[in-house]
Amino acid sequence: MIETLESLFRGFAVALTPTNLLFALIGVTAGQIIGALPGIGTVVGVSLLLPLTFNMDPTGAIIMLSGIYYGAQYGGTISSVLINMPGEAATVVTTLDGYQMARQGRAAKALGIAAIGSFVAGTFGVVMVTLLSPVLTTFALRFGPPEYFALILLGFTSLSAFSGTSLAKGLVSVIIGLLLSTVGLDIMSGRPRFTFGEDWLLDGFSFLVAAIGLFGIGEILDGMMNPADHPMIRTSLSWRNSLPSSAEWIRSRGAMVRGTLVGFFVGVLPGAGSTLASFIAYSAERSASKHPEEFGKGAIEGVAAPESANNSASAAAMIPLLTLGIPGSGTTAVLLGGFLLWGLRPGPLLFTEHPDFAWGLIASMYIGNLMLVVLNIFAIPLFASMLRVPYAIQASFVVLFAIIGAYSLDNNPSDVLIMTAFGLIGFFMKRLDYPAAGLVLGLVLGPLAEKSLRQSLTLSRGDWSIFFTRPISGVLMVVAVSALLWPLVMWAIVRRRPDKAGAADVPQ
Amino acid sequence: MRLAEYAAALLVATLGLAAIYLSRQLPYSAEYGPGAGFLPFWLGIALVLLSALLFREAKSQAASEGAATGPNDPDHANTNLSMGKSSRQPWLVFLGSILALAFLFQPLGLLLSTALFMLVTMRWAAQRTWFSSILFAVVTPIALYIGFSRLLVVPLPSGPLGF
Repeated sequence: MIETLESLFRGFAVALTPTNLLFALIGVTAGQIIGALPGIGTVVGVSLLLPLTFNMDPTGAIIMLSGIYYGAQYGGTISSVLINMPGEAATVVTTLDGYQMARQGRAAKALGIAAIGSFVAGTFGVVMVTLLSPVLTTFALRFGPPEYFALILLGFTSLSAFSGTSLAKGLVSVIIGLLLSTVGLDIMSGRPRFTFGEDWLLDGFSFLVAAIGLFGIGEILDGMMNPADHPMIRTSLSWRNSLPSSAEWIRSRGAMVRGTLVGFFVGVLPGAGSTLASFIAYSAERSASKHPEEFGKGAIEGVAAPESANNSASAAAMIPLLTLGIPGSGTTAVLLGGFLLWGLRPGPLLFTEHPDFAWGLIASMYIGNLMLVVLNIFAIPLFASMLRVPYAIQASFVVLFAIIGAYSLDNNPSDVLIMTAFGLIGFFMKRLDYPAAGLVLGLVLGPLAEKSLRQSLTLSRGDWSIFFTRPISGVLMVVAVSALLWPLVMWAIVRRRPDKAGAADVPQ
Repeated sequence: MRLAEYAAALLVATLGLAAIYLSRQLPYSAEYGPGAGFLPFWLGIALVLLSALLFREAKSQAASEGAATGPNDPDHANTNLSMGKSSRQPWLVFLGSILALAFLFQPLGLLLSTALFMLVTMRWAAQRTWFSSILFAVVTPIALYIGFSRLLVVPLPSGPLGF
């Protein structure tokens, strides 16, 4: 405990240097903007800006990129509330009550309670990261190849089960990502695989090129199909109106606490993430509420709960990333790519080999959350004005960033073409509901998944029971397989309560 | 729309078969464990099995859609691959501009290629006036050049004219 505090103070010494403070501020502000703009998600933001940080100090770069990641969870609320278009998948459910509040002239209140809830939840999440990371790190040292394989499998199955409308489509995305990751030199034998004699395929597909294309170009092509601008609700967004009255405070207090806890437990699971957390928190809040009939009509708890949940979930997702090196979502996968670019391998050794980096990052998350709550109470009119930029103009700039980003990864013009090809694939995946995050996760974790699978089977001389007889890996395997049964559970719930099923429908 | 779902399922099946076929040419097992062809082979099998599931899903979806909404449902125009007439032309311009930019980025260099891209997308995809389109086409490349090449020192292609 004392040791943790000491490390955290060292982290603050790193995070509070003027340059790192500046990077944190740039990161959270960029995240806020990226989150607010509908059609530009977190993954795009992080993957587009990642190549631009190559000449920066690694700690500063990761502080900035993480700032974008959790800052976007705050920003997404703005467009959900003001134009009924979620800026982020994790703020979809906020549109239900947030937009209704805005129509009643209470937009500032909705944004205010979201900012406060986000701050409480985000800070709670970082406290948990601080406390749990050292514990999990020692735990993770006991992980051998079977445990890593089981954990990755859990990430794959839960992402497939929770991310889209169809489990089969989720699995297909992950498997295609895995297949793409096998292109290039075989990690164990060193012989080329699926390269068809082409030299440029020997290195395999860079997942950053894939991520920039799939999310950047793919999402933009999708958004351009319906570029109509959404009318914005005009209302006073002064900070004086954004603070809750005591009655509202009493109503939303419990919602924040429940949302925070739900978000944390969902977020810490690999593959589940902040979107699912916000949905679960919303429906849990509705069931717990004394006046469930007000939900969907501008109940302040309906904003407070999911907005708290998505922030504590996004902080919680940093735990498996930092301690095990296993990202659970598209964005954390890209962040992992950022770590790797600087030779920082997240995992149990990160905290002992690069303590300044690891603790500096954690400390910067405390500071970033503080910056965000201030930004979100005082600078909302500024961010809201960005929503007036027509979509086609935003889209053109995203394309420019995507092209420059792909080129600058390796100064290689063929990366630009591969990125564009992934963009087209991403567009079709988006239209047909195949989660692109699954493909990126498969591509990122493919080499580690294959290595741990083959090492495990080599250890056991081909006996598959190795995954089930070791305690940690056995539990993880059981959870991983049961995630596949999730759609059946949902189906049963929807069938049992046909009256409430309609409320889960989300306006797109 | 069902057609696209079926096409996707077919593509998944083809990919799976290709993975199975190609991985058969790699060693399935190595001296002490699975070899290079092991994982791709089973991934291919999984894709083939999943494609069958996708076919089933598309079929049952088509059945329920047909029952719930008629073919003239206005919301139908906005799902999947079809889109409203008004956004079709800007969309195609936009797609064409992205492809052109991807191919011309290296040969023309940063300034020229992005200037052309902005001019075309602002004028015909965003439907700005000529004046504001030209303004975007002039200011954006200069801003990108200063931001990326000068401030962030990211090496970017300079094109035939040396800038």
